[in-house]
Amino acid sequence: MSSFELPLWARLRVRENQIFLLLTILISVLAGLAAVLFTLAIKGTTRVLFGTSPTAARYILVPTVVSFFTGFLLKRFFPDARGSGVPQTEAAYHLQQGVIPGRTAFGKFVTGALCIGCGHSMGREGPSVQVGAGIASSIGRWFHLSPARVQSLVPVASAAALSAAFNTPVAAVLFALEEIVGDMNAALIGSTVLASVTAVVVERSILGNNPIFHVPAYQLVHPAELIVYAALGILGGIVSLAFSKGLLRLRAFFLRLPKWSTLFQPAIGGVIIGIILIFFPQVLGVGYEYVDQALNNELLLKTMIVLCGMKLVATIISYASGNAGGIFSPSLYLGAMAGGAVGIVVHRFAPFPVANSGAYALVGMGTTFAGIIRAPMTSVFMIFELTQDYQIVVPLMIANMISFAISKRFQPVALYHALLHQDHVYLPDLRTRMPAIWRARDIMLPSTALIPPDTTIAEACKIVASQDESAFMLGRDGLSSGIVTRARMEEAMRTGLASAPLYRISTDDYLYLYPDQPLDLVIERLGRSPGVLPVVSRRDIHLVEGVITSQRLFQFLQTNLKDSTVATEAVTTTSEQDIREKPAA
Amino acid sequence: METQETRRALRTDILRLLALTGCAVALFFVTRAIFARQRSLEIREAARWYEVGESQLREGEIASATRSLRKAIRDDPNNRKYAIRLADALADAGHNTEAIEALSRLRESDPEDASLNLHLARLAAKDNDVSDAIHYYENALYGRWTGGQVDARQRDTRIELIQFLLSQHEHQRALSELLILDGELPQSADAQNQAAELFLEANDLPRAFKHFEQAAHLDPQDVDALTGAGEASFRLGDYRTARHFLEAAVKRGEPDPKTVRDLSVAKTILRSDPFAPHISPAERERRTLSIFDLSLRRLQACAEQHDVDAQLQALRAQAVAIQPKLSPNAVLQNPEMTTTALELVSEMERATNATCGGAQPADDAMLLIARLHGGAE
Repeated sequence: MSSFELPLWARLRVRENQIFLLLTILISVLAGLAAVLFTLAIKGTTRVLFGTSPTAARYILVPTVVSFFTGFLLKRFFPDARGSGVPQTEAAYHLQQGVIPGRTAFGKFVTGALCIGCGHSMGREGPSVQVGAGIASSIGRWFHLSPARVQSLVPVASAAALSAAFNTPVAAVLFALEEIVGDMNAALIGSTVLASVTAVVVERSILGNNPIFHVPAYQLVHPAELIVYAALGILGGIVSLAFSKGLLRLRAFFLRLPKWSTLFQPAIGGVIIGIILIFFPQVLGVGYEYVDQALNNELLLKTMIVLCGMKLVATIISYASGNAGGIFSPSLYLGAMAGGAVGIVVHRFAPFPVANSGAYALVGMGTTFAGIIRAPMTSVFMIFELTQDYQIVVPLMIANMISFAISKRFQPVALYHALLHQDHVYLPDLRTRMPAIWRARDIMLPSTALIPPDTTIAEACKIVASQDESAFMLGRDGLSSGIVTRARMEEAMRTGLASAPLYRISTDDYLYLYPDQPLDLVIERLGRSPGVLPVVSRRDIHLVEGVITSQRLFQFLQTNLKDSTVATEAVTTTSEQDIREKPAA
Repeated sequence: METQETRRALRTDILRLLALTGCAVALFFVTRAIFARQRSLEIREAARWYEVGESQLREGEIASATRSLRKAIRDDPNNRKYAIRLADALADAGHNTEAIEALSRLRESDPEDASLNLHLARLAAKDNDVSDAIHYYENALYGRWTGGQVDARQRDTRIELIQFLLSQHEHQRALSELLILDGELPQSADAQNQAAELFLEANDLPRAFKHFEQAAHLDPQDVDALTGAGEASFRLGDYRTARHFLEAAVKRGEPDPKTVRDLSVAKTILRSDPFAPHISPAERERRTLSIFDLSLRRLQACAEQHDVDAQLQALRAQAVAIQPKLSPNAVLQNPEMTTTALELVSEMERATNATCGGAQPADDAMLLIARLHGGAE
């Protein structure tokens, strides 16, 4: 039977399967080319803006003026292009079914190249991932693929972009699965591997097969070195924590500033970066040449300590002030400097023979990557891929796991997710992503009337008099600002607060759910709530999509359990009929 | 109806895929072109930094030159010339380890590059890292050479390795390399002379003499070859040949004092050796007594200046005691007496040289005669 004789839905599915493979290859090529172009654009921008021997005035003027311009672009045209791009890609994958507007991808490319090229201490890998994913998403939608297919193109393109940007195809696959999808057992392994390999072939055919770092041969000289690597893991964890906490605090500060100031915030960062560049031009941009020097024992102890501190400060300022650029390469830079410094100290004082400082710089890169990015498997494979030396795996795993554990203990939410939380975006956890029959969005009452917070308590009592609920949401234009219980309102009336505004007796500390959370969590949270459980959007925690009350839950279960029993009986009957009919057929 | 719709959808898909493929191909070439342009800019920039570095090196500003050369390498990391120049600058500034690292990184991409290996070998030799130096020299010898005059450059490298081995007292390994060199030498006096010098230094006197002789044959006016052949034959104990070449050398140029002295010694030996062939017994007896007397006189003169030296006094007493026994008849009747006398001459000359110094060519000649015919060391 040819595919034309199949029903329409089946034909469409066949068509989608056929197209998907071809699209995977084409998108990987395009994402890889975009990543290579992005790297070239950053280099070209730096060359044009700074020339060969920049003066102090140029160091200050270039980042300030360019950041002001990118600040305008980011505020006016590309608001989703700020920052790394990895958290935004994750959010698009989990919350928007992989939809990333083409404009965002374009904006990220332009603003990212300008921000990093003008001297901001940021990485190119995160933006490459977002640009690649944006291209994939746009193409998927252009081909009218199903939302699930468009969604699955996002990690595929992310792997391709990272593979081309960092020249480590295996680590790119792991990063896409571990960080973007959040599930190493994802069904997308085949496509991501294909994408990663395709992109790296494209990248090498243009740039040549040059490794991103010249890594010296690694060796574990003495077993006692493992203790030193464990200590390096602790240091890596501390540096990761300092970076994560510092970045989140400074970003929170910038976010608290008035909204009109977002236009100028990148330029403020630009001024500070300019001042830093006058004294420490080594922190300019991606900075891989200095990582390379640390790996090859070409830097002094004092230089490495100072560069570690300055890069940490510079990256925090660049990122927190709202510029476009990632934290992937800064995390490697910090680790290389910290590790190299440890290596030199150990080399001088250890009572046993040790490897040169380059080996410690290499492991240090892994520790900060594991501590900041929180992708420990990616980290191990990335360094393994850079060295192509099996000997490094054991010390690397010891150091990475220690750094990861310290970072997780004192900063429970991973940095990418914490950055999303600051934007009121909350990604579903693994439990939420598990298959479930009913979710909060199936149970909730889709619309709810929010009581304006400045309504007097007496008026509010009149509004809710005809309702049965024991608690009510406050807010305006669909955005909640708190919750108030009926009991609290009645008590306020008794104590003579009838004319007081409602927000005085409300609380903004209340339990809520996301639409994709499963039934068991609904029951558990409802039991602890005052009787009303708001269901809020993951993209904006203040946006109320609906509410769940005890009464609504009982109604829903009554209806659906009856339906499911009927359905189950129907299925059973059909199956039995099938079984009975099959021999006859 | 549905079939038509599906076909239309497929047609649209195919067209879109073709358009996308076209875009990908076009973007690929655009990216390549941009990369090529950026690369050429970087290469130009690197060349400019290299020139700056060179001029700074000429002015002796090694630290600035190192910085400029590093910038050149940053922009053109695979350029061997820049890396080698940087390594040289670093080595000149005393940063040998950094120089080795700079070249090692380049070597990773092409471990068989002879010129890189040669530079690394020189740096390792400067660091007295014998095993690394030998390793890199050998890699250079058997590596890939580019440019012209490959044979000559390979030979020069081998000579450099031999000189390094000799300086490290690795004579056996040096001789192995010298034997290979022996088979590669061109027929020129300079090359023969150079090989002969190395054989001489490695104490392979016959081969040293052979090459000096060959050089002298190729260029009879070559004073170095004549002197070398004379010295080699002198050390081999062939004083007649030594006299021949040394006389020729003295005649053809400004002789150095050692050549003149060696010639004098050789002549004295030929004149005074009691065991020289084709001399009569009477002449042998005359020569024996003559060198014994000469040696004893010198010892006595020395012993008078150092009358507290017990060894010298004892030796003088022994010589004075044996002198009456060395009558012409006794020597003729008992040829063993000649050997005994020469042994004593050897001891006296050594003791006199050690205590009073100032040995004359005749003293050297006596010592050599004594050594040649049984004088114990």
